[in-house]
Amino acid sequence: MADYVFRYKLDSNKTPVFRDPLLEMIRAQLENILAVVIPVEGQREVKLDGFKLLRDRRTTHKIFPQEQESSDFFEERPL
Amino acid sequence: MNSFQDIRNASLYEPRIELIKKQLESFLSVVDLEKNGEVVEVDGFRLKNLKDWLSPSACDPSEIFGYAGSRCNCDCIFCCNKGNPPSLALGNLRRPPAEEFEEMRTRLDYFFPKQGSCLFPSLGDIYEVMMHPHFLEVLQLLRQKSSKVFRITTNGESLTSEIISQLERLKPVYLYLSLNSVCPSRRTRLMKGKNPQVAIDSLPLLREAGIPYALVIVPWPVDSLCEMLDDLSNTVAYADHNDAHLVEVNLPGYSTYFSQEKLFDLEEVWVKVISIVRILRNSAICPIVVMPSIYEENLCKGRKNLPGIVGLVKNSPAARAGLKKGDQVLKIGSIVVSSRPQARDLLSVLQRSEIGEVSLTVEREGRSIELSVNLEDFCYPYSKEIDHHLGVIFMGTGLRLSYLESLRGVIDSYNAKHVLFLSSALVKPTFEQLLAESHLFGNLRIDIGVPQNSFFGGNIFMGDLLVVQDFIDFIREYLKGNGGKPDLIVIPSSPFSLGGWGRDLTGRVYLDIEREVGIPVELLECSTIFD
Repeated sequence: MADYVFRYKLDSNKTPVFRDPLLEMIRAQLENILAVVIPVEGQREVKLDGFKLLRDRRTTHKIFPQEQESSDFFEERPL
Repeated sequence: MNSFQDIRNASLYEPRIELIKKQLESFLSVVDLEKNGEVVEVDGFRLKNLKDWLSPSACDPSEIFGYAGSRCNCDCIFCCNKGNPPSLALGNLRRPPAEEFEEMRTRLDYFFPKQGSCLFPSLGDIYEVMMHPHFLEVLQLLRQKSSKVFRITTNGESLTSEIISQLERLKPVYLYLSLNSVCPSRRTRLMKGKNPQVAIDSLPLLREAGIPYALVIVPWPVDSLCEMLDDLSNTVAYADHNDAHLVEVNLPGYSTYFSQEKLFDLEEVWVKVISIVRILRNSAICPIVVMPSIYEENLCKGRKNLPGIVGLVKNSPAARAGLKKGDQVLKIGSIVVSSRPQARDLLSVLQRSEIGEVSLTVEREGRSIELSVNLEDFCYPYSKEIDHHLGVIFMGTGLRLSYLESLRGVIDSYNAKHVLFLSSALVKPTFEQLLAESHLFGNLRIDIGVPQNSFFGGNIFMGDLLVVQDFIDFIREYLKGNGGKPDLIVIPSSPFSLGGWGRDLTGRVYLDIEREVGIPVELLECSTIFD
């Protein structure tokens, strides 16, 4: 007998954080993966909060959109 | 084609499915997929090879038959499922029974108790499993794969002699029978079932069939407190007369989604229920536990976490050896016992061992008494497969001293000097006692905070029902005070332990707390306080 099929629905209407769709794609992918893994360097856990594109290493983009004004945790850090 | 699964359940138990969903959505926001030069519109995805989706599991049989609990033949006025917030990651699919059976059959095909693996769970709210048309068929198939106890929660409306005979053939079976009241009219008022007498009459039939059961009562003040407590006494007496293995009294509460109005004074009801239970324990033979038992301990015991006996399973080795309610365990064999978790662990090891006899030393009325327990001396309602502690019932699980050692290890790994530890109103008194008695924490500053259950609201105040946002809200308020900013925040892991992926009951990952408040957050591994 064939297996029961485990099916999941996709949603098409997501509210983007960044206007640039390609930047938003990378941000969302990083946010999603950081909800299931903790990156490490050697044995040390690394806590990520942003990223830079290789073509523009002067601009830092935040990964998590819900930062509070009181926190300096997610501030952009231009070189 | 069968129905879509509920992604909310997957986000709790197998968040890699949610990851795939979100990644696909992210890609599809910037590209179209195509086949043979034509754009293919997709609206979903399916798991390809189910063997890839096995996960480590204790393989409890309820991981299969739980999927039969999608409906109910009662409409209990206190049903906790009615108070679930909409964003809870515990959806109920409501599919045709035949489709649910197909899923259970497939899950059975991938159920490997010897290897300790099965398909990831995706259970939502569980209602009455026994009313599912394929329930017994599932149990029969399951019995071919597992010799473990079938622990079935039921309202008893289906427990006719025919059904009980069928369950008898599937032993070992243990029932959590939600009788709630021995009075048919009160039971109907509480549960709105059609067959109250079937449930009431099932107790002697279960005893005859040798199926042990816990009789479950939610003392809900539907009328006067006096009437409720009288009915509680009558129901316990009926359970005791019919050799219940245990009576479990679940103290009532409700979320704001259940009722925005105040329905009763929680403290008044809980204190009165505990008072009557403590009187009933003097006359009943069967053990009576109040859940959450730590509330009773906080209310009635000065010193916490001690291995005091609140009841003994009838005809258990411990009962037959002469142990009594009120005894406090001092020694098991030659090992001195100082805490409840230690006593439970030792008794559990003995229960599973081949040892035939063990001595237990207890304190009774100020005197030390040594009793010899014959582990082979027992009969119904006790059984080796079902019981864990030779028939001794304690006031809940207690807190392990090893948690403090783990906490010290976590603090050291951050070199923290100021720690905010987030506990619950129920656990805080015991934790404070253990902390005060420990020499592990020297000059460290450990503040203990108790977040409110704002997500559930109502009169809920359970630590295990706190969600990420409750913790964030509490920490922000704490930081507004004059106490300074802690170096580290430690949270017990139990509110995030359901699927093993650090998710709260909404499916949100605990890492968001640190991201929001900007202070390192660590989980302290621990069990839930429920037994």
